[in-house]
Amino acid sequence: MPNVVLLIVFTYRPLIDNIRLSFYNWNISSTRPATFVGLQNYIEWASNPVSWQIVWQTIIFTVVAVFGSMVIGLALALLLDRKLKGRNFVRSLIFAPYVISGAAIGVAFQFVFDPGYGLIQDLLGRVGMDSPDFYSSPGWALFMVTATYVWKNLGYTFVIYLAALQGLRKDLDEAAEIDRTPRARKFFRVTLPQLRPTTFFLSITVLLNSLQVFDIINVMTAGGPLGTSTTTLVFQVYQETFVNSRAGYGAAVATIMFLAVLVITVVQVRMQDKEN
Amino acid sequence: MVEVSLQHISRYYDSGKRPAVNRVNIDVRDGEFITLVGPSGSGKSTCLRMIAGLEPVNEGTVMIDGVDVTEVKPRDRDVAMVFQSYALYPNMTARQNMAFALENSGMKKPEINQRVEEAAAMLELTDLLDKKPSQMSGGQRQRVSMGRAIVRNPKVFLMDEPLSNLDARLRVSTRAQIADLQRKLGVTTVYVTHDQTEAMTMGDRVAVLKDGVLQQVDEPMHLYRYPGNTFVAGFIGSPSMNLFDGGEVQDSRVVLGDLCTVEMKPELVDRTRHPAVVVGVRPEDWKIRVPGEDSEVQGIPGQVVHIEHLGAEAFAYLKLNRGVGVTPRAERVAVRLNQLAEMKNIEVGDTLRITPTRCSFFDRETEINLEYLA
Repeated sequence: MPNVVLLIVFTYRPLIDNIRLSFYNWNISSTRPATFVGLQNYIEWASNPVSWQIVWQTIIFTVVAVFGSMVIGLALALLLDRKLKGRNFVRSLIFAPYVISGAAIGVAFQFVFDPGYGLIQDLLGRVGMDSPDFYSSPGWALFMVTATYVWKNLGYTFVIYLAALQGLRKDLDEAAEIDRTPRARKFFRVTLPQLRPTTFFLSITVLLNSLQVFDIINVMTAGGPLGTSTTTLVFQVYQETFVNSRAGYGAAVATIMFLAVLVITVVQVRMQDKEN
Repeated sequence: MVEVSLQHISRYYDSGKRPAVNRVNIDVRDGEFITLVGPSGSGKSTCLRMIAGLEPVNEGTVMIDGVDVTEVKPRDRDVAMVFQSYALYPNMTARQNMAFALENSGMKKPEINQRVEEAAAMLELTDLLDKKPSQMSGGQRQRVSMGRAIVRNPKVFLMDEPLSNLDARLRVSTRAQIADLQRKLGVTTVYVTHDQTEAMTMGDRVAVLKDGVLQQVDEPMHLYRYPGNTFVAGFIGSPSMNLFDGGEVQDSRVVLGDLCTVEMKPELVDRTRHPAVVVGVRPEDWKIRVPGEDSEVQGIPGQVVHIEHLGAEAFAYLKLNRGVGVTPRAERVAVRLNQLAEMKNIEVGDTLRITPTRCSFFDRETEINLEYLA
């Protein structure tokens, strides 16, 4: 019961409040009261080409973050799910970024990607290549924040996949060995299907987390270059609400995002249920 | 000709402790069905896994079809295994499970289909081919795992307690099916079980293990009648053989308490190295004097403390009277009631006198059956 109360007070009430606010025009830095504008905020958002650019950037960021961190996390888990010297140290090393603050990682990776003296510039320089300008090229900037987020999130997918791998049925592995299964086929036909519940769980949690990434973008690019090149929907909510003081418009973007996440999650759950 | 030969094989999990399998020697003949039986921790499954290549062999040699496969990977041994858990791939249908190994070997689709259909028909699985393991009962899964082994047409079948997850009734019918199938296919088979009834009824020969050491390999009936040592005597047979310590050898007779002596073959007398032997009597090898008969008659007296009626037969469990000079190893002595009259007349609380009609004699120190001592 206390949980339900907390859920109502801190989750459902703000959610409903946010939806209500999305129908108002409210400048939070002014003393004037909010005025009801109906669907005006939604219409404005939908008719602005920048909104669709932000949606597209959000999709790219999220898809790459979800697939990137899951694929690399699984690959690392497979690599370290065997008796190797120093594997516990390496496991800790991979997990560490997940518990470090996104802002701190953002600051650190500003140096890594710095086109003048960063690590990437140094590595590329060794093979005679120039570093892309991660801070002024829109494409490279999006790549930079996405890669940084994937690196941070890797620890999470890695640990969950590692735990799942350690719980796999050994007898199936042995049966596959006796059945003379080639390594790649064994992975795709025997191992991966057993990891399906974990993959499903990760796909939902990583997707939800990716859609909420704010700190790394804020620290590294503040949504730029060129104003909105690395702005995602959640960053737009922040920008509109707290920078441009348009709380109603920000609430409309947040509501759109909420509905998108709701639809995606429902589809995912339905797909999983169907499979089961 | 596919023979499996285990030559002094050992498996150590911990170098400081006793080996899980200790210098085991077994030669499985071509087409033979051999069962490995023993209590938990006896090393029977480890032995099987060593044949499969799933467990390393720390000492000794495993030969399959005359080839030393000790260091050969499981995939290259051409063996098929039926696991205790069945180990069916849960994401695949029965058909896909059975075809999987054949696909791995690059076999053409029509031939795969033909083999799967044939095996399915043999195992009455045709209707289940498109079902996934989660949609099947335990018995059906067990048959699919058999089918998966059969389609491979391997050199050797290895079966690790495949019936242990089935209910008692299904286990009885399936064990007959497996034994029949093996005889039909003629594939050399090693079968692990902890159930001595399963071992006795299915195997051409039975290998008994204890603490990783092979105790005896023999044909079921010979094993039953002539157990190699007191462990085999106690493990094979239900209820197990009654063992008595301190049977003194006097001339060609063994004294079993104050009121009973049993005859011993002269050649066995020659083999006794101690003044006393361990005497073993099967529950069916007792002659019973029922109440009311002459109380002066010879026989070991004991009180019936429990009767087990199994329908066609019944067993009485006796607590022997004190001071009769007999030391049974178990608290109660099992006696089979041979006739309906015995079953009806004998009740708990009755005092019976029992005399062995056939005995096994074991060396007091080594506990080896004197029949096997030179």
